[in-house]
Amino acid sequence: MTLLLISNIQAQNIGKVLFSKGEVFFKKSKDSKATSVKKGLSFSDKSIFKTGKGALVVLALNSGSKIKVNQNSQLIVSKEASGLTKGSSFFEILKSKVRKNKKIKYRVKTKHASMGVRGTQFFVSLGNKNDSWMCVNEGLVEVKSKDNKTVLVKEGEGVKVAQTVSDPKPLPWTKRLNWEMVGNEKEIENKVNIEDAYQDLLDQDYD
Amino acid sequence: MIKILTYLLFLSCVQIYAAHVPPIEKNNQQARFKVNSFYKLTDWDTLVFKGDYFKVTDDRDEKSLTFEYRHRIHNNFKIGGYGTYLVGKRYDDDWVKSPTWKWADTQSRSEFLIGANVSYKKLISFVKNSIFELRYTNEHNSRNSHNHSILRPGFTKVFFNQGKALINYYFQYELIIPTNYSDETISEQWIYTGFTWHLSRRFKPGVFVQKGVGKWTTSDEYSRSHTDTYSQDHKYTVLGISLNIYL
Repeated sequence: MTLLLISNIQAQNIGKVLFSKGEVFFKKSKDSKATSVKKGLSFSDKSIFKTGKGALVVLALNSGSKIKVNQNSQLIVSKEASGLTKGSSFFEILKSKVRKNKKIKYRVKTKHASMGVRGTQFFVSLGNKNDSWMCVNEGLVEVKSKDNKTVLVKEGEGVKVAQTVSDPKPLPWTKRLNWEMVGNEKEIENKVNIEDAYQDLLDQDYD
Repeated sequence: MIKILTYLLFLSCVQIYAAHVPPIEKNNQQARFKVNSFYKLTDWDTLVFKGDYFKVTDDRDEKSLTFEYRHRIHNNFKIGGYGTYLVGKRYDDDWVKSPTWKWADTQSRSEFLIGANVSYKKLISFVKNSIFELRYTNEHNSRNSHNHSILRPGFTKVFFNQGKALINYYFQYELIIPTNYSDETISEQWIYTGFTWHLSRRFKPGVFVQKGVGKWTTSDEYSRSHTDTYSQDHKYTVLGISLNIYL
């Protein structure tokens, strides 16, 4: 008797889509086919979300944390980390429960930096000059650049990361970011452009 | 009879005096065109190139080209050093007797100025997206060795539309304080007000109005042949167009 064991490995779902607008696609992995996203869709570990022009998607992780992916962005989402490879996203990360005496930090990575967070709300964006920007609305974020410099970014502060990470300071342009994760399209859409980061009001010369 | 003669004598003295001193210039409505270009070398260093054409009166204009280097030493502070090539400017000592008293023709006269400045900018907490600026400049003229300081406080408000800068409104007050010339403590005062439109990241055109008042004080030549002095007003109202280019 031959026993055929058919094992159906079903990836564990780590969250679902709370809100979606415009062209939003997701892939279960790098090599899988992209499918369009709708509200209520469950997604598994290491799913890749991609948004087009004018698009927006809000993801709710099973941990209670939320991620808002802005237009023209790409984000790889897993249970304990995200990788931003294009555009910008907002993160609202709840303090996770202590597990086996280890406190879990959610990590967000770009090609310039790794950010460790626990109980915080922050924004990350890839810039136009081979750099990344990050600012914190609530809580504390540890940012480590590729040259191993580490800074702690507090509420109301932001940093730019390129070859190294800048010292945290208030960034006037981030005051206009829309941090809302829940609501209708008008209430949650963020219209602040990363180009505004390069328009530091105190740095801009007019004469 | 004596009263009439005294009065006629007085009038003739006034007329003679008036012919020897510069005429009062008031409310000339003139034009100015400025081009400013900014090139960011690094996050902290900017090169600035400026061109300025100022139609001061119907028969006089000033043209200048400036090259400046600015360095941001702190979030709120910048320092700069510049050189200006200037053509056509008039000074107190250009009031000469040739053969009658008149202004020398300075339209083709060129000179070189060098200066250094420090500026302080701060966001105004109670007015959204607004900046207070104070700029202090020391300038030296290599042709006539005149030195003066320029103090300029100003206010700029940036209006945004859906997160993008749309238009600036600004107001500035400028004092020119001679340190080794002029009989006046303040030789000129100007106010500037205008709008700059954020047409694109690279091009920002604008319009402005400036009003100025200054004094022509006793020229060297006049003081060599007279014992009295003079201080004559000159006032201007200028409409201007500007263009900022960000390279």
